[in-house]
Amino acid sequence: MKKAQMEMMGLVIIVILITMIFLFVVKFDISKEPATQRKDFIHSELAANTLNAILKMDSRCDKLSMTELFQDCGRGAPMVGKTKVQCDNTGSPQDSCLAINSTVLAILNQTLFMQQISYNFTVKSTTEPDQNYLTLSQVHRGDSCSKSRKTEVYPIPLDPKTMFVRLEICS
Amino acid sequence: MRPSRKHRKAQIQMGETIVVVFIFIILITFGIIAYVNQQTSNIDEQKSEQNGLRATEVVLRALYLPEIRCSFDDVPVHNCIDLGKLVAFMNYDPINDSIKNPNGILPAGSASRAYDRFNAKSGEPTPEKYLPAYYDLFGYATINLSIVIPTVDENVVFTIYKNRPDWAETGATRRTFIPVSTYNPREKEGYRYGYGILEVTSYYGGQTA
Repeated sequence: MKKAQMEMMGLVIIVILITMIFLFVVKFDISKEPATQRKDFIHSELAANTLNAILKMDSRCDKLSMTELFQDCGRGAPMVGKTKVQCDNTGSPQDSCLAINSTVLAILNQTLFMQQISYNFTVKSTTEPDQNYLTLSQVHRGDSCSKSRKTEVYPIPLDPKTMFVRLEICS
Repeated sequence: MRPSRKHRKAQIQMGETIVVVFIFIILITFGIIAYVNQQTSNIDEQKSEQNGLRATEVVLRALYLPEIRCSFDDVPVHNCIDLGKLVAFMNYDPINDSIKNPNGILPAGSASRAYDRFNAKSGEPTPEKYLPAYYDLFGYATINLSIVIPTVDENVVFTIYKNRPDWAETGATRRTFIPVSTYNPREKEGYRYGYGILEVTSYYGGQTA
């Protein structure tokens, strides 16, 4: 091999090496995901604390807590010996499910949605998994609830089934 | 005098070497610039992450502050703020170790007043006197508790801590809010447990939040 060809080979090797280093650095830089620990933590705290606070809160219906109101809603139609709770906050009587709907919607809109946070709130029971007692959803444009979300589920015991209150915070 | 053939070849080789060294220096310079930019961006990211962690710490400290946290028979309750304790805490004068208004002011269901001990009148303890005790815990921050339920008109806001530095306008801030249960021990009927928002704003010196 002539000297000129040898030099050419050397140059080609150097160029290949530089290109490989450059590609490696670029790939490393792109694949590095931004730190999301804080956001994840805050969103999971947000979901847990929101549900916790809602369920602990007192309602304006027969001095019941919201958990008891959820239980009443979950029992469905008036049962033998038990009458469904009637709430009379606004002058027009509401059943417990409607009262929950308006209260929870007001709270979630005043807190989460006003802070540009999208959410899905659903209430289901074990006996009718396909049927939702309550579905509230507010999703901001551009948010995707299917990709990244923090979910908190609270079970509420009913006799004989269990009701699941679920809040998803979308990122 | 014309240079000999040998000299001409040497000059060409010298020129080649100079060009190679020049290109090499340019490559090294580009590499250094890229590296410095990368490092700067990494430092900014790390700073932002640290600030985020600090902000989260402040939120958790506020949430678990024993002075205002609900407890029954000395058993603390998670995610709950006792409004009775909160009012006593806000009326507490650490200089004289006394509570200014022992009966306190608890928000009635329809009240919409703001409670802000940091807007002290003359003769009352000034914010600076409160700060040393809690500066280690909260640093530069503002902590508000807004009562969402029960209210009728507008939210009742308690300013629990306020240490807003002069440079807050130019610096970066991080705002975090956490929903909490509020417990009003004086409420006999209606909302003993309400719904509130604990809002923490942390201030940082740099531009990176």
